[in-house]
Amino acid sequence: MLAFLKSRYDAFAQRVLSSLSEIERRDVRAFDTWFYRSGGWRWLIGVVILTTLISWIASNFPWNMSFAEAAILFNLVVLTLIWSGLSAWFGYRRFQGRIFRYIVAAPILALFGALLGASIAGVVKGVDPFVFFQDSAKLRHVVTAGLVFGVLFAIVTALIAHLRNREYRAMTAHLEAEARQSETSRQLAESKLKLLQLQIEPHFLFNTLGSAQQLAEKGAPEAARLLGELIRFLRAAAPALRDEMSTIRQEAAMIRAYLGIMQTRLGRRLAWSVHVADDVADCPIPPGMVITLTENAIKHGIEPSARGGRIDVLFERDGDNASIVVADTGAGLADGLSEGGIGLANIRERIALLYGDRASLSLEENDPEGFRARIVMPDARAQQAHSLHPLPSEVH
Amino acid sequence: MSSRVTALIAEDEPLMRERLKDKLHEVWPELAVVAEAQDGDEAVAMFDEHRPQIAFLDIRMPGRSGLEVAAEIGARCHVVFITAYDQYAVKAFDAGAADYLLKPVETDRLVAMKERMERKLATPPIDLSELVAQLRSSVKGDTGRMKWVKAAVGKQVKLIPVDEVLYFQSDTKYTRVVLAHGEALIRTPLKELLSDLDPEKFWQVHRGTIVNLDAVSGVLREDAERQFIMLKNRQEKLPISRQFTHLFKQM
Repeated sequence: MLAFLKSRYDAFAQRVLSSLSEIERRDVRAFDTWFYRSGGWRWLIGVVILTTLISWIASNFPWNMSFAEAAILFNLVVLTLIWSGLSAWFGYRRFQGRIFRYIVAAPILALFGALLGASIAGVVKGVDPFVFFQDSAKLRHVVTAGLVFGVLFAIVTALIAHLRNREYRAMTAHLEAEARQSETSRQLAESKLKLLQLQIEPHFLFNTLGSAQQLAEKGAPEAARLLGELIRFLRAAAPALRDEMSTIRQEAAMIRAYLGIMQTRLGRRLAWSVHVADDVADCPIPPGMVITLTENAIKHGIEPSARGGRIDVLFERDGDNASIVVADTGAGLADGLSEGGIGLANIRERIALLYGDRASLSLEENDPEGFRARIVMPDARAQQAHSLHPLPSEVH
Repeated sequence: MSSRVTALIAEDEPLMRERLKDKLHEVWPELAVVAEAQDGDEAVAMFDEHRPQIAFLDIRMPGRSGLEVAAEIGARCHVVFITAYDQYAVKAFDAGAADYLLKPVETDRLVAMKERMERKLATPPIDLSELVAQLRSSVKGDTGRMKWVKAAVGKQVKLIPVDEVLYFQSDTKYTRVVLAHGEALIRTPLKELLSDLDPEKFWQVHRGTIVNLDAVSGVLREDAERQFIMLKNRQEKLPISRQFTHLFKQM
């Protein structure tokens, strides 16, 4: 019998637990541990003893109540309050949005309960309830007792439910914010890592070194120049990627070195230019993005095209923004669906993480042929200047 | 054995081409390089013209790749692939007994290659088509899943990340690409799109509709026969044809 009850209770507890949220479940577990393992039940016994003691004192007042009656009544009231307090403590989510309705309903129900109880008591004692309630003093007593208990009960539970709901909301918001924050920083770190991996391809290194070797063996002076450009490219690429931010000037220097190398390797198949407007040269920019676009232009535009083409890289100001265009006249992309490469997806992700809606990467067909990528991103200095100097005339 | 062996070199970078030629001349003077191609298409044309016994094919070239060229001429001459770093290809070459050289080429490797080729020249070339077919996809370059739709938006041609597409709908001649804000047209038929799209994310729900699951807010069940897809941020409902209703049984 006991085993049967226990198994039914376990099934019930399981069902209730599984319907709770993670935060609620944690609370219930903590209470469970406190009550059964750390002797929380002793408090319950203590409360019962204390209440009984109080009811003994109360029964000594001329209240027309025996000790047994007072002990049962007081203990019922106190235990009911504790019970409802606990149910509000753990079941606060059921009160959410219904607290006001509850505050109104509880005293009314308590009042009806008191009237019903008094009627039953009357019947038991052989008093007609209608006669009993005609005594206005007695009716007032019953009504007062019912209302006082109902209001007390409603206030305690509603207050607990309200506070707990507020705590729950705050905790949920906190957990969500924390999750979002760690997600953002994780994505940022990841996209940085991906960019790092993309940067220096073995293909590029082997082919460049092979070309340099060939030039050197023939005693051509271009060998030294090619190696010089490779060194400049590697030096620019290596520390820049470890930094959070680079500048347009630095990125442009790396791109020039890179395109110089590719020019030597590809010969007549490549023509190029890199132009940096003076007023954006010092604009901070996440490292590695524009060189990725340039590498794409080589890899997907010039290299697949037998006749080759030209690459033009343009850094300009556009209001408070920096506008960066990498355009090639190479192979372009096939119609319909095409693989755009991890690089583009990564740049998109990265500027979205850093600048949100204020930055964009747009890709389109170049006129008359080839491919054109444009990044528009806020110039952090422009924003700083605005916030420091509200009036344009104060900007030097 | 005839004293002169003929060869074709296909390599798009002039310096690398020159280097291979110089080194070959150094270790294998009897070898005559009769043709030098700068891209895959030229390599096939030059092969047909000169009929060399050996073809040195760079894997990454404009036009046809080295693998594609090998698929065409591989049965008629001995192929030596050249690669800087295609590790998958190199593994497959080792397993499939195809010959290859690593760029930049080194003398001792070339000597070993020469000895192997001299033995091979007495036998007919082995058929590489199977090996090449297996490799083509892996050497194509980017294998990232991110894809873009190249589409006409007004007068411009734009690249739209495929994730931003809510659904594709066939429209007599074109395919409509519907986005959260606006839409575009492409010529690629739905059937072709379906094979390229990620099947985890894009479901065909109708003969004429492929929908992005991320854009779906729910399924409206008018009755057992007629069901519709409801979209986030869009008013229109997309009918699900009967053959696809089973996809949404559990939803």
